[in-house]
Amino acid sequence: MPERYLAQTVAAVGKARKPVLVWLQFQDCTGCSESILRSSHPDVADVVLDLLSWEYHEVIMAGAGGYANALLDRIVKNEKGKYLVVVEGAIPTAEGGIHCMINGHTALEIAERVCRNAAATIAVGACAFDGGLVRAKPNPTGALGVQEAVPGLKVINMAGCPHNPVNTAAVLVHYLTFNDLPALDQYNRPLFAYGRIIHDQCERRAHYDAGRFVTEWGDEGHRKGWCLYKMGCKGPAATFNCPVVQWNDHTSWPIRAGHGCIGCASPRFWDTMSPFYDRLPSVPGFGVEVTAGEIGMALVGATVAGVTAHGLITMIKPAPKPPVEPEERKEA
Amino acid sequence: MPSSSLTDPRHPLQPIGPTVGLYVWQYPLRLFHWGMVLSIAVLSFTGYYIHDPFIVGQVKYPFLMGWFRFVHETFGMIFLALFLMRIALFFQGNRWVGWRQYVPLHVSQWKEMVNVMKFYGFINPKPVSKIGHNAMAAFSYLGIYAVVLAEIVTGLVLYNRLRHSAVLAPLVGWIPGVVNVQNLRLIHFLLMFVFIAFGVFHVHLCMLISRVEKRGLMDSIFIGYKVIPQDELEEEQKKAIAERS
Ligand code: SF4
Repeated sequence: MPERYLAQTVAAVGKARKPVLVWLQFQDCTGCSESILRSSHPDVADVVLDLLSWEYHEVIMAGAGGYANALLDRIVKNEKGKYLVVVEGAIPTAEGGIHCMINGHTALEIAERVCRNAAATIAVGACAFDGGLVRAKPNPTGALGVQEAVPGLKVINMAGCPHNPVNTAAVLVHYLTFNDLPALDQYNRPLFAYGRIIHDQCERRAHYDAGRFVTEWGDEGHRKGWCLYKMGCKGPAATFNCPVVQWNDHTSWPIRAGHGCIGCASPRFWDTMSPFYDRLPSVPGFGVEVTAGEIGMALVGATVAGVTAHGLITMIKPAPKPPVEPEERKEA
Repeated sequence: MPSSSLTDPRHPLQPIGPTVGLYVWQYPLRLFHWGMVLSIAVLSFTGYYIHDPFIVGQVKYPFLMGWFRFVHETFGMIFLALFLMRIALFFQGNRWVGWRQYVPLHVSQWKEMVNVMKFYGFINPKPVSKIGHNAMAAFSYLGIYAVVLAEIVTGLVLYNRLRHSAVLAPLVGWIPGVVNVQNLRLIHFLLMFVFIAFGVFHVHLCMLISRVEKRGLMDSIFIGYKVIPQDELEEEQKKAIAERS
């Protein structure tokens, strides 16, 4: 948001009746909760105490057991259509969704009840976005992201593993200011964070353009901070705003730290962006050790061999003569 | 035929009857052909470099990868233009480059393919000689045009992701939602080898047929003319009239 909106934003955030926030956790690693707890733009205390009325979050709330359940029921009943819900983690659908249950209810049932009655659903992290790690092949629990498991919701996806709390806070502030979600892309991710290719914002891009590449971990190029393209960096295929907002209070981000991008904010990234240390996916049916280049070379090699063999056979067999006219045969 | 000292006894004179020089390959087709040869060569080289930059760490050219990509994208556009021109020739060109020759809708074309394969498999000693392409060749060119199209589409998707083109976005912007970008990259890369393999086949078979036919097949792609027996031309004329009515 442009700077000139600062006054309006502050005013709106100040005036807003604090909406209730419910944070649900399903098949997750709590990494998204962890990262928002460590956020300082804004600090989690600000978010909990000033911005929102953050009432339900299994990891950080004081209450437990029956008290927690009653609280959730009360929010869904009293704040119907007004509260915000954040979902962290995938929702299993195999075998009736029994792979993730809280208080005797499946994740699917809880999501149906809590998300359907909310003003908007914010799916944080790759798992809530599209199933993430839990859904990676072979996906034994039939895990899905929120928008697929509970279709028809007003949902915004904060993809990434984990979500970047700066972006999530921005969405919350945007919601408080305009009472609406920001502009979204085709995967319902906010364009402001997911609209640009990493590669186009990368600080190592000059090395890429010049052809200075790391070819081995710890080699000279790696020590000099050259481009990680040959180490399987997925920056050219991935969109996110890591290079700009970075992580852990703007400390660093994966590529600055010397590791290629793995495209963690991209759809189904565990399956689509792997192998993480190769430029291209493995060709199905050839195993992971064989690269696409080797298969191509083999194809060309086989063709050359075949053609050479064919050529040799034609050389050995005398070239067929065109039919000779009968009179000419007599003459000969 | 009187023998003369100029003939090699191991390669006797081969009378071929009355012939004409027939203009078969119009110059747009030859332009397409050689443009394809050039652009596939350039695109393969630059594309391979982009896939696996084998020149690493030089300091002389601060925009080396940038240049490779620029050349690749430029020739990609030339490749696209050539392809569109070829599509136009399907409808605007002469009889031998028209779409009817390429799409095997008639049983006779399939039979011809069998005969061509018999020649390649050393079962028939005589190749199937045609004024234009034989059915097998034509069909394989149709296949290679499909590969060209796939290469163009995947290339445009990748180009659009970087350039956010207002023209391309509505045309190809939806594709990465169906097939993942990384898989599109893989397809774009693997198809390059199909071109190279095709090139090897193509040159070999052209040399083979040219050698057996002795009708100037190899020449024709440079000058457009082929040496065609008079009676074959007349027959083709009759066929063309029959097809038109
Ligand atoms: S490190 Fe990755 S994102 Fe950065 S320039 Fe190299 S390939 Fe692109």
